[in-house]
Amino acid sequence: MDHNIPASKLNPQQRVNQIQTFRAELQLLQKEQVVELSQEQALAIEDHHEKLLMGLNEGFDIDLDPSDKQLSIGLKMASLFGALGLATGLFFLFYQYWGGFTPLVQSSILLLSPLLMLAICWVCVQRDSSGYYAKIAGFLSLTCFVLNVSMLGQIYNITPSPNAFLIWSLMALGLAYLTKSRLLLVFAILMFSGFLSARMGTWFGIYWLSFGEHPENFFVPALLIFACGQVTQKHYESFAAIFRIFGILLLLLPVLVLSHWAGGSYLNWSKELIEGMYQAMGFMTSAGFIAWGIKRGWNDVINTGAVMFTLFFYTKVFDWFWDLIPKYLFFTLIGLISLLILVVFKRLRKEHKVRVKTVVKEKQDA
Amino acid sequence: MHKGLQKKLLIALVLLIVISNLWVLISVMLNRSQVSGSVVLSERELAPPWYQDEENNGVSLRLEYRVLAADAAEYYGYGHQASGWLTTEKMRSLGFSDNQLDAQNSSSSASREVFIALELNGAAYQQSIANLKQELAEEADKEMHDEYLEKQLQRNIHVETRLFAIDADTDLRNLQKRYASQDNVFVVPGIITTIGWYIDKEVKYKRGYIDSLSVPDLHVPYPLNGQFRELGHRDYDDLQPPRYEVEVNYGKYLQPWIADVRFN
Repeated sequence: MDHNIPASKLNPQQRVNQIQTFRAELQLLQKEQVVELSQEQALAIEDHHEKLLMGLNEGFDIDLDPSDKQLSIGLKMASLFGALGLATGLFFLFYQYWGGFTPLVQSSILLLSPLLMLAICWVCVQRDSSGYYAKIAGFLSLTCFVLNVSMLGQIYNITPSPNAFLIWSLMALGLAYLTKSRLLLVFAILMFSGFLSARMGTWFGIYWLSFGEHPENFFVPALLIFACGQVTQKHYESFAAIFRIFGILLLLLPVLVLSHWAGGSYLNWSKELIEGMYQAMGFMTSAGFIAWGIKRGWNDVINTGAVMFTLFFYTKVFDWFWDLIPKYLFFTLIGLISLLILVVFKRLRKEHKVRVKTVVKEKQDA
Repeated sequence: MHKGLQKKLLIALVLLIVISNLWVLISVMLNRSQVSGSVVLSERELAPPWYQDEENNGVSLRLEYRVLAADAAEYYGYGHQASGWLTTEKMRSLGFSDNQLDAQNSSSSASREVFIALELNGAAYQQSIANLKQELAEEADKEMHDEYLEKQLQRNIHVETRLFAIDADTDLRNLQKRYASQDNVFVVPGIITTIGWYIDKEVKYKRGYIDSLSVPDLHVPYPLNGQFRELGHRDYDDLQPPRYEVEVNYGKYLQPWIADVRFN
């Protein structure tokens, strides 16, 4: 029998979850005497599911029950801390001894270390289906490469350049796809936005390392990164959400800064006009993201948009009332506004439920 | 991911690492293939690190420079906040826009990377000593004795750096041409930033200061670095002569390297 096992890791896990939900629901339906399967039918389904689960369990690192899921979270945390700890250790190990080597030996070590870690990463990708060791090795390979380029800069007194961020970003991106690591993808996104923002800064005539002083430099990279999240990639379903979340953050956090600090803007307008414009832009764009997320069914976009909208809202409330009213009144006001938001959302939910009920009733009548 | 694609990705990553390293090393070779300037600096201009980090056995020397201040009252300082020649006009010639130099636009500063001319033991250094002597003479006329100023003068003569940033330009050739006849002047890239000039607690106009040099520290390669780790820190009152001299070369891309170290 062909069980049609999907290739990516997320799909098998989704299939397992689906089977578990089906089993629980069927049990409930049988208990409430809504449906009764013959013994033959029940056995056929049970047999099919068992074979499917066994096949998936052999081929992929999946969680078959809730306790498996909890262990998985533990493994992910251990893998993250392992990668961070070993990467930091590598940095300090090199600094501890590099002064005792000639530039030729230093350069050779710096070149060979990312290659060696990449080779280890490749072996882990081939042999370890869980992917945890591959992710750690991938992160260490990126660390070695960052150390490689930055230390060569120090050894040979090279003038700093934003191009380093581009090659680090490419390395992180390649490793993210090789090991299916979202952490590495985040690094790739941040390094790419650093590179492009620095380039934007130099195009506007400022020194590249001062790119952070003008938050508008982040707008173009943010839009490009958000655009990458519009396409769902086969085998990398979770990557699109990372692109979208960081695209929104890289756009709206600079807008939030500019809505309170006109001095960081390239625009030669009055302070009030710049801050007012960015405040309006912040509210409208975050609301737009919420609407776009609802339309496309992207919870990540809805949630990030909602968090940013709330941030814009509360910073504005702070702006208006912090100096004007006593602290007890200020926090009471925050509490009351939150209650108001709660009431509005509950009402929206109620209306949505009524609408769904009407549609179901209409279908049943038809 | 398909195994074939995984292999292609692996090859691409290997190539990325190798090509990046080759790119850096070839640019280093090209830089060192042509010496654009050579200068011998002492401990006064190339200072050892403030402290030796036990977890870092590499050694870098800090390039110390000064700028003649705009205000005579500040000439004895390092002058980073008061560069005399980085006037509003000069800043405009370095490419800073009217908006960046607008006194009303006081909340933001702007930085640009330009070429800076550094003069070793030249007119600017002599001027800094003359300024101090003049102020001491004025104090003496008023029958006052300023110990701090006296110490500054002694430090200026024996300890402080004799390297002064004297000019800047966006065009390297123009700057080199202006100082072609002075063999004690060499050019390095550096970052210049706008600063609000306060008069009566209000920004009246904007001028500039040297934020930092693009390569502020010079790495000392092995085996030249050995003795630096045992040098130790000098006291503020120590007026002894410099303990070492370093020959520094600047290459085609103005990137420096240490060619030789001599301990006295």
